[in-house]
Amino acid sequence: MDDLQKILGQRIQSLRKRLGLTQQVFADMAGLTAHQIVSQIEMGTREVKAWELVAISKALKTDVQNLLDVGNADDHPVLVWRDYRDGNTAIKEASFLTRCGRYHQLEEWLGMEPSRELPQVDIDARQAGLDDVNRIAIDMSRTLHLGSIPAASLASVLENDYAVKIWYEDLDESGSAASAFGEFGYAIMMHNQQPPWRRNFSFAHELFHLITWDSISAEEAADDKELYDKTERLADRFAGMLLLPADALCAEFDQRKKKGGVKYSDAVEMARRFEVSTEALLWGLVGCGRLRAERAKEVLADPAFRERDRMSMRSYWWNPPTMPERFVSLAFLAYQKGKMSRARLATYLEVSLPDLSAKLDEYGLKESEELEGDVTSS
Amino acid sequence: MLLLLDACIIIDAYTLGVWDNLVASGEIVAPSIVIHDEAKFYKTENGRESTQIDLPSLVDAHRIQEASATPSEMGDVLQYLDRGTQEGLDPGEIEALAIIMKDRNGEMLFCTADRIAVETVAMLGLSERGVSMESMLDRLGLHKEVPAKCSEQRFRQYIQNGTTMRLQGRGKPY
Repeated sequence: MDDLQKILGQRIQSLRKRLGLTQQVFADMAGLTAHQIVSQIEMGTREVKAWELVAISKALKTDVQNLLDVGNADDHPVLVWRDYRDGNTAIKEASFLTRCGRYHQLEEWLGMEPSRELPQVDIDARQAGLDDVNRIAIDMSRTLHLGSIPAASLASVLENDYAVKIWYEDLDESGSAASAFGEFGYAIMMHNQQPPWRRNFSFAHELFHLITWDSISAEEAADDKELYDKTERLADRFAGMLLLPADALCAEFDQRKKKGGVKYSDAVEMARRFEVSTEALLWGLVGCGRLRAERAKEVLADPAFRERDRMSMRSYWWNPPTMPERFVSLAFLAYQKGKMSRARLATYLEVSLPDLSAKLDEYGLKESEELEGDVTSS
Repeated sequence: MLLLLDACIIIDAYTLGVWDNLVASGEIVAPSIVIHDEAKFYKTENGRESTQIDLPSLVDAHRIQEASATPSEMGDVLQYLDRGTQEGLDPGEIEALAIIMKDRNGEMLFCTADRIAVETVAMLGLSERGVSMESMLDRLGLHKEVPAKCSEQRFRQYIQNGTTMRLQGRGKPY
């Protein structure tokens, strides 16, 4: 029996089980006619055909190269989920991690290093209080240069300056977001069906996990509900403080109050301006002493306020791209520079070869030699 | 002379309207991955209409040939390449390279227009086993204007690049 055939079979079995797939379900996903074939492949008694290997790699949400890499340590980074609900997240996680690996590969091909390193904060989650988190939020806003409307720039700064890989996915059954750290650096998977302001809050929440990655063990939190819940509360508090800096929030509130009170429409408009939910805004105002907690609850429960909030949503709503624009741009550049083949580019952009041009077109990219030149040569 | 085509060349041949002529030559071979997984349809010039490509039927009718490599042979190809090159190639291209490598003394020529695939052919010391689409069509008496990326001039440039990389020690010598 070929050694690689045996090792390949074991690897396929390992990945299949990690995804929580039965042999029958996996056989269907990979287009294999019977689950017995899966069993034979995994035991190494049946050779995988090359084109079957491609189908198998797609079903396992990985690349053929990874399956054939005998020396591969099979690293599986831990993901930290927000608002986690019971469900099979394994397949989404596998897809996400493969995409992050590809994103990192693009940066390597193009020699791109992050311009800055994401700072790590030393914190004991069990002992930390709200004042500690407030201080961290203020420091982080300054360090990241987020400005007076942090939500407007947070995702962009994380992606472009710190090479945090950001992907959007339908996470309805799994949670609102997840973060991870691996060979590819830091990464965030974000629920694409959330309103934009909830996504911003989730980004800020996930940022807390990323900057405390070294001091709050994801594995430990996964096994300790008390630690997990405390960490989540700290992350929520951090998000609120980061996105609604007290100085800017109070200045805005006071200015409006001077001009004749803060109406419901003012509050909604402020929330949209800071790109947060009205709920986050009102609790932010409570936090900086501009509103009593009881009044915040009354306003939030008032149907008139809810209707005012709902009416404003349409003009502020935007859907995230199916793929990060930076990722698509880097992939196209890597292809133009001959780092990957056209078929591989199609794989990275998750389209068929004939549909590649249309996909690039969506992002304003065109495979036209007439549109290309070299800035450095005449 | 047998001609091993990658998926992009097959799709380009359909788009240029020379596919039937190529098949009629009786010399066309495709890697199993391309036949079963990659070349399934092509789009017209305006990109709106899709037309199916049914390579398995052509194989069954003995109008083209299917060649394959085992995962082990594909793994062997990857051993000769650095990590960046491994990651830049598609499985169909890796299989094609494995087919050419095991046919070391044969005459099958690998036709591809992808820069990384052509450079890899040269890096592996198999320059004489690669052929551009333009040259392939000329050899078959089909003189058709091809896109710049498929030209013999472009192909030669990439072969030169790959040869230089080989001399610089990129990948392991084959």
